[in-house]
Amino acid sequence: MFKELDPLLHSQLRLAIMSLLLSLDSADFTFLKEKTDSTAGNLSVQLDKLSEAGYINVEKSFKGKKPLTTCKITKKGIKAFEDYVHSLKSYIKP
Amino acid sequence: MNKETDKLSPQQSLDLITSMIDQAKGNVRDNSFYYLFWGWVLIVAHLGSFILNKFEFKYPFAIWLIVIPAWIISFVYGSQQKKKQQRATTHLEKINITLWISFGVLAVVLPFFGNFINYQINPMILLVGSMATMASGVILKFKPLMIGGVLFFVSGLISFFFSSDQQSLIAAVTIALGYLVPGYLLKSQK
Repeated sequence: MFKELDPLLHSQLRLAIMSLLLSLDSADFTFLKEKTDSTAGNLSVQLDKLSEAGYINVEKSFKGKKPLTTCKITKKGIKAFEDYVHSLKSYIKP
Repeated sequence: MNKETDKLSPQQSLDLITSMIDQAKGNVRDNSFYYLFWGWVLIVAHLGSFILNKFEFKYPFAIWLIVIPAWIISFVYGSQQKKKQQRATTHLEKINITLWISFGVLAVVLPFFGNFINYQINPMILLVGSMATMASGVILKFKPLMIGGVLFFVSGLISFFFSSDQQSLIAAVTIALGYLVPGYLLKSQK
């Protein structure tokens, strides 16, 4: 039986963001943009989607005059990620 | 990275997860500054209090006031580094920082409770410092610091047998060998 994959995570950029945040305590927008090699616009849209779902926490502040966006994964996000990986296994196992 | 409409195969998903986790892992910052800075500050303080004691200066402990500007410099440096390069913090970095801040707080507070522990402050701080140094060594996967941790432990125990100004000397030597030397090795390694 194939388990259904969480559509929110089964997208390249969102999965990349979640994988990064899973291994970090927190990361800012520029870091995520660089590591995922994405455009600011697309990244911003995907972060909003993840944040709306409660998978990540987005905090906006200022570093001097520049806006600073810091992201952290939430407990709900970790659970969703674990479930996703678990479902993936069912596709890969013979 | 491509649009969200891209279809991912399970294998692609796994590859992506693995590569991102690797990216996050390789994000350890060089923090040898703290080891060098605090190594020197503490050596000066210990030697200073030893010398002041020898000259029978009334308040040999006054030399320890230098840790106040040292804390300030540390915090200013830390926040500047944060501005300059902090983009992501790993769990291990956070553990390491918390560990040393906790140790710093203890080292500042403990002397005020000196009369309860027969003024064996130096040995106690060396022993607690041994835990922090050892744990840092493990976190950074850096053997010289782990050896430093063992040295702190041994010196801490030995210190109990010596007088308070001799303890200062032992502490200065221990910090030089167990903390400053690993700090320089760490710096040269990057």
